[in-house]
Amino acid sequence: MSLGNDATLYWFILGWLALASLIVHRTVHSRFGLTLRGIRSNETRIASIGLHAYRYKLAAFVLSGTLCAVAGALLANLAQFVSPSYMHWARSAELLLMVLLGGMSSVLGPLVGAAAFMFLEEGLGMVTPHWPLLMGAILVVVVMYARNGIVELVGRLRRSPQDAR
Amino acid sequence: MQGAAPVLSVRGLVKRYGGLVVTQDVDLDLRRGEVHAIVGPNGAGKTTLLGQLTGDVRPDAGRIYFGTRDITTLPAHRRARLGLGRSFQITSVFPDLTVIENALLAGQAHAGHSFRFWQHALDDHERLATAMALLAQVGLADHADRLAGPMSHGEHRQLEIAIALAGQPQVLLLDEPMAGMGIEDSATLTRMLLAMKGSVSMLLVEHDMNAVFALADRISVLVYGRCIATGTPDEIRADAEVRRAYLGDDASAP
Repeated sequence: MSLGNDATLYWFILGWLALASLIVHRTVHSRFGLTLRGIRSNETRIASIGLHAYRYKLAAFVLSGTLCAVAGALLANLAQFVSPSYMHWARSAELLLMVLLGGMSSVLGPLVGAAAFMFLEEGLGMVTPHWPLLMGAILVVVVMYARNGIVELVGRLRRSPQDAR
Repeated sequence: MQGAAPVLSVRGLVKRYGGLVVTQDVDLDLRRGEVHAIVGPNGAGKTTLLGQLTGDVRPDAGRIYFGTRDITTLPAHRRARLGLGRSFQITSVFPDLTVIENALLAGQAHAGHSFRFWQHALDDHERLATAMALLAQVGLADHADRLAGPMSHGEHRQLEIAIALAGQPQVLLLDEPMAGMGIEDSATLTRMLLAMKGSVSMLLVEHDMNAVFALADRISVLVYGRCIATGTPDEIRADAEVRRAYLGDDASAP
């Protein structure tokens, strides 16, 4: 299998995305995931029920770092190029913006957010070279009116016709 | 009276904050199965004493034993795992989780570690049944799927007790469980604690004297960080020093 072929590389990366999403989905709903959600919800209470928050947070960071490492390796294959600019904070910020845009508290959110981000970047880029300005405005609106991003917005729109009845 | 060794004992405990002595040479024994109330005026050091028992506050001197084991330097999460459950004075539940998730999570440490990454947490039927039984015990069975955050104060207090019980503790440290409750809710909670009496040893810090006299086998009175008396409710009512320090000189028996 040669990753030099565009189509092969695409399917290869898509396969990894599917696997990573499955892993994250299972993790969120597992006992470990319940512990993490508990820590986020009320960290001081965690010790009093006999759990050591630090160990679970550490494991979560390791898991998240591992997934990012896979993504990094795939990116290097896609771009056939690695430069120090990948370490610039703006790259991390882009990833965070994707999550904010799509929605933080779901597995689907970051996927939707990444797609939306790429779409906006391309689309707005065609309209004006100052597209980050427009992107900024859109982000502010999303953060103000939909704390959980596009996923929540869509969910609300789908529910509202029934609410009206 | 049970003659057995105490489940929890404190010897010569001292805690100072700067020049202020908030726990002054306190000795305390919690006997197996008893409800032991700690009362005292505001600022007597009740919460600080409880904090030292749970592991949140490090004492300056003295020792704390759980059974025969010295737990003085053990961190809070290790004490909880040994069987020291607690409820908080200010409600401390997991607001972003549902009621049943609160109960499941609270029971998780007791069931071993939580490094289970794959199996769905709500798929474990045995643990789910245990958690449901617990919710039924505190009267929240009908609310299992509700998000904990938006529930009422009384329901939060019930959930607070459920979380404390989920680890099947030998000792329950209750920090003002009746705090902020109406007469009716606090009577309900008193009945609930009465029903649990004997199955778990309870150390109860409480201002509500009706609850204290209804529940306690023994009472210790704390004044300015010192334990001035320990005895049965009748002995405490009759104790001259207690009346002077706490109930007021002219107290004509509560």
